[in-house]
Amino acid sequence: MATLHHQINDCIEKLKSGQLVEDDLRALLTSVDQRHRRKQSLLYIQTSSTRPEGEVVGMSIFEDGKDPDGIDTDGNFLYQTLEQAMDDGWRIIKFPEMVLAMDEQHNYGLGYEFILER
Amino acid sequence: MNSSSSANDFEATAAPTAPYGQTFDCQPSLTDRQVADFCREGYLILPSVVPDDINQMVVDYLDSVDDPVRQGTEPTPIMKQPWFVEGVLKNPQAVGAVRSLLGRNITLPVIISNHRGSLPNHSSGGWHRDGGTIYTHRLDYLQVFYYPEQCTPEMGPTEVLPGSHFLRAKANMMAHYGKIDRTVSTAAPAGSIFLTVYGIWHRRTRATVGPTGRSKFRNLLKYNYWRTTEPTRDWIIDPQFDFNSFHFITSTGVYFEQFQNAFDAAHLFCWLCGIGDQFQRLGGQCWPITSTVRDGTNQMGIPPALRTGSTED
Repeated sequence: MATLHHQINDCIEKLKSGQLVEDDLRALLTSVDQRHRRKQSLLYIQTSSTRPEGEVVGMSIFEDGKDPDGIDTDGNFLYQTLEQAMDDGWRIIKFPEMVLAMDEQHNYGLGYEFILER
Repeated sequence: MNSSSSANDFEATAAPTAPYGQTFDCQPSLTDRQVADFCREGYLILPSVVPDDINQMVVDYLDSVDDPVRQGTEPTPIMKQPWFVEGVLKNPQAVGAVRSLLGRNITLPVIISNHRGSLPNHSSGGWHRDGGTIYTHRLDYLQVFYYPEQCTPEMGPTEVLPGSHFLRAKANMMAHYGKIDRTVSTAAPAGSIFLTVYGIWHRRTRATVGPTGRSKFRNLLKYNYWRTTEPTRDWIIDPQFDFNSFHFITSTGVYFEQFQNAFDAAHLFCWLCGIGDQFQRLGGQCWPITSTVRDGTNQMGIPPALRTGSTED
């Protein structure tokens, strides 16, 4: 994001000074295309309730270069709360499946699962 | 036998037939509290119960019959080795626990699997419950695991999620789970055996060390014992044990609707006592969730046979 922002600012400055050329705009277009082609990453966070600030009880992440267990080098969860994940650019794309909580007698799956992407 | 033993060496010591599925009996070794603990947690670890000489023969046997390239072999014919049957399958401490949970005249296994994990292995196995799992308040069989060699945390021991034998999920829908809080590692010394409810959630953890130990693999045998008699409370009865104050809620209770797993664990315990028909789920502050009752008070809904002052067995 910072790189793209910087490139646009450069173009604005060049435009103001009359130095903007076609190659500058083509380079900007390439950067935009690359950003759009970036593979979607997924983050699963299981919490103890539907409350977004709830205790994180499980995590997994599917992103290039990341440990799929969703842990840091010390073995701790990458994010202690859902909010921390959102602050790091993750957006919720699925909220916990409430139909699974309607059965009075039984429990299904691990806690309440939020799915996020970036 | 030694590490260069061949399959032929073991054929010389094999019995003509293996006791697949044969019944046997022994004395129970678990107390009321230990049986209740098992109902709640879904597993029991017995460290270092198999003698070292037996462990070493098992490792030599596994190395002699396993193709090192293949994983997950079934060295079931090891049951033709009398030392294996007596030292492992009828190990007094292990079968004392099995006998406590499955009653008299339990059956020996019919299949022995070996989860022979290569070292290192940088990916963990996915969380799963084993195929064939059903969710029930009966306990008709036990899934038992045995480490013939020390399995350190670096060798990829299996980890289990306590209480998950009542947490319903399809194995294929658990594949995206990663780190789960409050799991328990089964890393243990050589000769350790652990018993589980068949449907407990578990996975192999990643192995970060290279080939090590006698075998150079992580060997983990797995087999089942089956019940042949109706359940009854014939383990070691503790007359002082108070079922009103026992905490049936597991450490992973936060994963459940509040108290839900306590109901499930108590129901299973009642079934094992042979009083499954006495179990009631009244709702509200009923047994077993009101474990802070005082002065010998009976919780509402506690089965008559488990009440304080009961003279029933």
